[in-house]
Amino acid sequence: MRGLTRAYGSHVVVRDLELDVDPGDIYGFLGPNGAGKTTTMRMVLGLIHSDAGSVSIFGEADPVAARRHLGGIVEGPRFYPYLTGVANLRVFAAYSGGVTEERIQSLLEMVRLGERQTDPVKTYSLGMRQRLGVAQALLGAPKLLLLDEPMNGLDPAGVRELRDLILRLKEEEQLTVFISSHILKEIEGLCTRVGIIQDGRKVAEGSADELLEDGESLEDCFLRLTGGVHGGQIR
Amino acid sequence: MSAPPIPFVGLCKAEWTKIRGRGLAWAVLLFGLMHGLVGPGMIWGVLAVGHELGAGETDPVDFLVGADTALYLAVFPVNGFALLLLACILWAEDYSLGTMAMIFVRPVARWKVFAAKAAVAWGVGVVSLLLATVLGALFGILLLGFSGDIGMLGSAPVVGWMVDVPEDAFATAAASNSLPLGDPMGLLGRMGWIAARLGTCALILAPAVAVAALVAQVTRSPVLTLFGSLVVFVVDGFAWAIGSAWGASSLDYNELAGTLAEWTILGSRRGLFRANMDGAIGDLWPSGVLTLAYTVAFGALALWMFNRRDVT
Repeated sequence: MRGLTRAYGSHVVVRDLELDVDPGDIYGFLGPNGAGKTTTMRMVLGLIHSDAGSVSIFGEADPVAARRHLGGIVEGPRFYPYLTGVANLRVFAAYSGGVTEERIQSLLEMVRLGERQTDPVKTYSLGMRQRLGVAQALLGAPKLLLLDEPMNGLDPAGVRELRDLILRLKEEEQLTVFISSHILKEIEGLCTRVGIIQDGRKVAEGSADELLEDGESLEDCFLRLTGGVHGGQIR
Repeated sequence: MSAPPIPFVGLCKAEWTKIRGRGLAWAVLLFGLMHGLVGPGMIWGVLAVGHELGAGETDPVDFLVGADTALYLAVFPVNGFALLLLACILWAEDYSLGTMAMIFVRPVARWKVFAAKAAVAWGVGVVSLLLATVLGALFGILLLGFSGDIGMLGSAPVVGWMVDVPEDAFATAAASNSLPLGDPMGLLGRMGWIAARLGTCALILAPAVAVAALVAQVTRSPVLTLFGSLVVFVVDGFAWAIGSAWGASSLDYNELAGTLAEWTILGSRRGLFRANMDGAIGDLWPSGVLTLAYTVAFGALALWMFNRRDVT
């Protein structure tokens, strides 16, 4: 991302943002509520237009062409609740192009929904929907997966299941993952690099080793960098 | 490595899956089938009552009269009700469910998605009309028979086009106190005309899809899309009614009001239907051109918004 900027009226939500995600990274994208994370992800996914700046994904700057390398979920996966899990994937596969039935079935097995694929999505738990969401994001065999707060609302077992799935995807599909989350402990154990934004600006970027001070957790580091702690108290 | 192409047929299948899953597609098709039964059934009922009241035993209809009546009865309800519902589901529900965002993150041009939605909504409407016509013909064979003395239909509304009535037929009828008779068109000729009428009815459906698509881009809500589209058509219908009443009044005749009524969405489509009924291709101007123009104008604006607007 280079100089990415977006304003709503006079309120600048993302300001001149520059981020680099290397191939193979699991990149944690962090920031307080209202920092501009979701807006940034929406711009990368082509859902909203930027006022300035550009996004290049594996060398592709053209938005439609770039999306061939991209899969993502923003603010929770959304489905047609009256259709079955497999029918939802078939519908989304049509918009990706070149997705075979074998690919759909293998993704359903990967996210452990093979046995429930013929049930309507409205009968799925939140965790199952998240896993189906990951499956739909992988339909076009993307190189980069964007996940916006994927662990929101999941119980501890669901969080662990999703984390394991992301790690497995990185190994099996050679994916680069760009993930935002408020569950900093999970991000700390998952991500190879982290970027932190506040008020639409980048305040820090690097590996855990580069960002953390002696004995500091990612949560402490996050609060220190975003000004969330003042004199040992959370503001 | 070049990216795989995204076939348009595949996009249409995806849109069809959505409305089929909702059951709405079947409802629209059944709506057409229902008119295929009602058209011939209504004529059969009228004839039966006529016979009871002592009308002659001559049978002035055949199965094609049933088919044409079914098409006539189906076109405006399909256009006004069923098609709007379909368009609401295809555009507005994708916004309200949040699935539009899941589509737009994929490597497909938005105009292709728009075109697939329009093609499916319009296509289901056209198939519904086709079913009405075909079932009207089949049911007509059962109820009305394969042949009839249709020369008596020259003065009948809707299906009068099937008979070439002499210009002085009405004067003759008034003098002789009998219905004007004419030369009926041949069976194949009438079938050809019904096919052409089906074609113009397909064009009549198009502005409904375009209006619903546009309202869906503005409201992004299925209920508001349905309500907003109906408001557009009700207001347009009032403008047509007032204009045509004023334009036709012999007391206070206003040519401009009459012309403006013809230029409303409803007026142009009624004109298109009427031109077709009379077999008068020359009358397709301005009706056909205006209907097409409304479709292009509303559709282009909807497409522009579909392409440009953020999905938040």
